[in-house]
Amino acid sequence: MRFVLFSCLIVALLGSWLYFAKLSVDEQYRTLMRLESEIKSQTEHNYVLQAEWAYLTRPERLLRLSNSLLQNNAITPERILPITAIPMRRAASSPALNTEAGVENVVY
Amino acid sequence: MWYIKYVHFCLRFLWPAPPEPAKSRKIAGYRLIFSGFFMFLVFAAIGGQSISLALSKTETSDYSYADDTQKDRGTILDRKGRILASTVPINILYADPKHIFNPEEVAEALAPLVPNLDKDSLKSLLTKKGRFVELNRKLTPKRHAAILQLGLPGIYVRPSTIRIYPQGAEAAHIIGAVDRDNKGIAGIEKSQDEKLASGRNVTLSIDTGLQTILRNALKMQITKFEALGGAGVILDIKTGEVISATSLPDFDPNHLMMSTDTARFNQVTKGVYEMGSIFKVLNTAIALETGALNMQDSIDVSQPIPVAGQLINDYHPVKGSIGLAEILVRSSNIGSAHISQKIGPKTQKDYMEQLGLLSPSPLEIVENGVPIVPENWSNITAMTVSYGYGISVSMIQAASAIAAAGGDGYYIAPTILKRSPNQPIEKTRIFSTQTAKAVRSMMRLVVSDKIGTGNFADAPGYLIGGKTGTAEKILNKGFNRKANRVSFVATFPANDPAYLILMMVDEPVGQKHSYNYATAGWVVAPAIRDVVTQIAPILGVHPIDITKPENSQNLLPPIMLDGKEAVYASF
Repeated sequence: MRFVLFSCLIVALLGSWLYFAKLSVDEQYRTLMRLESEIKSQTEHNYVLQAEWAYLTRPERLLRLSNSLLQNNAITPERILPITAIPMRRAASSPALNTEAGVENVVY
Repeated sequence: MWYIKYVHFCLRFLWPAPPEPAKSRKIAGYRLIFSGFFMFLVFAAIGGQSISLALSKTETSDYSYADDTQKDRGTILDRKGRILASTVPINILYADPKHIFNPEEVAEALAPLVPNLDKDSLKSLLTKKGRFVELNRKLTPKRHAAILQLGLPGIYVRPSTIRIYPQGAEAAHIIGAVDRDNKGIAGIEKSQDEKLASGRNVTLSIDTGLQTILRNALKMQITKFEALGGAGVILDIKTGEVISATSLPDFDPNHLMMSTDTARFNQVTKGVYEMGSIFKVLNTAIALETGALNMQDSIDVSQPIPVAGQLINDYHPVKGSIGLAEILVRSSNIGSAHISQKIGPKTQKDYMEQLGLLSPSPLEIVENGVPIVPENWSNITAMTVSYGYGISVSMIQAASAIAAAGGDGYYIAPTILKRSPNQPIEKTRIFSTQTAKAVRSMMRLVVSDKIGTGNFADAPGYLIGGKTGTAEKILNKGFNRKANRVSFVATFPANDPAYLILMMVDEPVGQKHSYNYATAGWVVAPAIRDVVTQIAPILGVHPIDITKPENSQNLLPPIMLDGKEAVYASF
């Protein structure tokens, strides 16, 4: 009899514990749902912002604005030089530049 | 009395006489076991129910997972990550006519906020039978708020999604479009529908920046020469990727229903055309590769060739014999026809097949044109095919084939999808490095030498090589001499071709500024120069110093043209 009563008690306790666990899980599900909904909403918002950004930065528009506001032109070949064409930095110990009187030597 | 016995029996049954003590204990034992068993069953039922309740899922949790299965359609991106097509949320305005008591009043209040419908149309919609009438698919947040403030009964808003194309008409033919249910109906939207529908993104090999440059240059020439339209493609010779593909007139996929059939037609991939003299590049390459001719051989081009009641003639007739290079540089039809006879029709057809010109392009797009190929490949066919007549192929097919001849000698199937850096590229060697070197040298001379037909394409520093092509359009089983389709194929830099550009303008009209000429050299060549000048710095192609041995060794030693030493350098 004691065994039966003890088993019943255990079952009752386990049942209660499971019930509260379920409530807790449900609460977490609701939190998850809310977060998922928030993520979805933010993702959608992000899609809209990205689409707007893509629309505003479309090359056709940038080219048109650049032509009308900046008067930029394509780089001509003579303005593109190999890296070797750039003069090296002058060493500190190298002879100073010929300078006019009254102008200080400039060390690069 | 008999019933007294009966009553007595009943009373004894209800209130039995106390049993004997030994029997009584036995009965009590049975009762205890019975009660215990009963109680166990009760508790087991309660416990079971508790466990069942504890483990059961609520409706809300089911819903949260059901939502995960509804994925938004994937995004289409260009090779630099710019959005070409995306899905954004919208609100659909609809009405339930059963809930509307005064359609006149509702229509009047709603009309200013629904731009696509006037008051009368609204009223007729609101009085329709049924429970759902769509009023507006693209409700802006501002109008949505205004409609909500009206508080009209029977007017509701339902969230949905819409496919948008931020780049508008740029690359519209390649991207394609979707129907009302966001299902792909054209272009990449259709060919990659399964992938996009499952929420995955698709990255194209297209660069929208270069697309804009190509489209603008083409548009300018179409306007300048009052042409019907045009098309252009930029191909990466080393990878087979289509960097840019444009077809004009085009359409805005955001407003597909407002476009015409002509505008929706993709001239780069769907249209098949006789390409004209740009095919001479292939003819020359095949001749060199098969040994039918070599660079030292010359052919007499002074006499026109009579063929099937017609004469094969040259636009700029030459008296006497000229070499293989000069035939290409001067774009001699007579010379090309003679070369084709040395190659032979069977060999020519075999090469055309290897270059992918006899079957539709494998491009990952549904709008792939089927080439029109001669049924009987005779000697006459070989002659006409040598200068681009008698065979109709798409621009993308022609570009890939010429990329093999004028590039490194490899045929690479074109792709519209971006290749990953480690992705192996399937290459088929068609022409030897020596043949490819000779062909690109000759293509360079078409542009750089003064007798060449493509001088206007020369962009100093970028060593553009090219070939002009002018094809008369077919009219009533014959050719219309006044309606041409002019094209120009260019590779650059000629010493190590990295990119190929093929542009075509449909029916240009000679203008005063072009001295009434409407040939490829006048119409398309300047556009090629403008495009290369703008795109080369973006593509990282630096100006070439041809005097340096590492650059000049990739071209043939100086060739004699018109009795003089031809020059490759442009500065």
